[in-house]
Amino acid sequence: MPDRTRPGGSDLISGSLASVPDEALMAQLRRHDEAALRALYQRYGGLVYSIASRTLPESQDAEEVTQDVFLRLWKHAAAWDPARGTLAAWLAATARHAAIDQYRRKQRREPAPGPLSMDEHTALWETLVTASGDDSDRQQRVAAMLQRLEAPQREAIVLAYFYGMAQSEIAEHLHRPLGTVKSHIRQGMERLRQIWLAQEGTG
Amino acid sequence: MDRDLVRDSIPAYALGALNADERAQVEALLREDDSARLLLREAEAAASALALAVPALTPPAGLEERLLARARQSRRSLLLTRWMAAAAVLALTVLVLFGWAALRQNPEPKALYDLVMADDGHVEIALVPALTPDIEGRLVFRPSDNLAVIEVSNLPPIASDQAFQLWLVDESGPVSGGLFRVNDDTDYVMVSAARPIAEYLRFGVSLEPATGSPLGNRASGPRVFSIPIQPV
Repeated sequence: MPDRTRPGGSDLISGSLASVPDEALMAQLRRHDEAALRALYQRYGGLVYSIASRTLPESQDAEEVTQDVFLRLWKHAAAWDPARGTLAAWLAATARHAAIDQYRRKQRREPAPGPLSMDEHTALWETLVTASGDDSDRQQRVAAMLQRLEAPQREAIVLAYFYGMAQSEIAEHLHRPLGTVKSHIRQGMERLRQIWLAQEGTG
Repeated sequence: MDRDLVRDSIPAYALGALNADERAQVEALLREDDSARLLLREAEAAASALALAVPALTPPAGLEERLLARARQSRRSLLLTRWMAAAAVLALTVLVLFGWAALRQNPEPKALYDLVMADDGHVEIALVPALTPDIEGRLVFRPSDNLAVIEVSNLPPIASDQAFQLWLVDESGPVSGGLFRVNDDTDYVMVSAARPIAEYLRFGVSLEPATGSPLGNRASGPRVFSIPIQPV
């Protein structure tokens, strides 16, 4: 298993680029400045790798996805539109999509002998919701927010969000009626939305 | 479907947990309902917060240098790639003029696929297998674009005198979208159409002689898979 330490990659963001805003680094990246790529990796490599690892427990797969996400940024820097969100959000979304793609490809090439182990998923999820230590305040707030969901709601939401499963696939996977899964997702997401709104409102 | 039921599906839409028909219904509601759009924005924000809750990991030592090595290699081939892209666009233009619209067997379909997938507004539609049940994949595109990419896996092997033929179907009937062959387990087929992709009714793929269907703008061989773009 990969080393679970802290987000954000290395502390060794070199030289003066450590404090350069994302927008300026991206401008340098469009000119294929390797130092900008290094600085962005050091800033967000931990985030991308962590998200990839959530879907892909094999470190080699998560590494491949991490490289692909940053190479996509390197080759197509214009794909990020600052008007539509932060670079961190774009990288997080891209990492999630890429990890789900990789997960699906692996499932097609090497189908699991049976359904995914929910015990394993639950264990990972529990790690997720009890994350602590030197994580950021925001991460702890999100973890606390998730703890307030009922377990079936968390299960359904995590399978949809991190594994790209449709509601019908989740129902089949969990051996639950489709209507029940839809209710769990709707109620769980509504609860998340309300908690998120309350937290955003209070800063 | 009842408007309230569609509205109830917005949180699942934000998670990406709806099938193609359900997505289309939600998108129709979003086009005409301001409060539905606000609900979606809030649900998307709550969903995106999930990413922040992943267990925090440090990437393995050496990954940074491997990434930079690949970036350098990519940079060296950039000029060549740009030249190839320009040539591909030129070839595509020529093909469109002759009513042929699909290109593959070059790096561009995967590059386009990556770009489309990185766009939050992209649409994914799962293909419906026909020839064999294990064919899987999807069409991805941005609603206003005339370009799209089909990601497809598990197509059956075909003889050297055969090819897959893509059909673009609108209100006036099918038009050939070109011929392709697939060698890899998972492959990408670029589609270039005369109209925005979202305006078509469906796409289909048939198995044909290597020179294309002898019936002209109609499939002569068995259907391999189809892609419903608009709900029936």
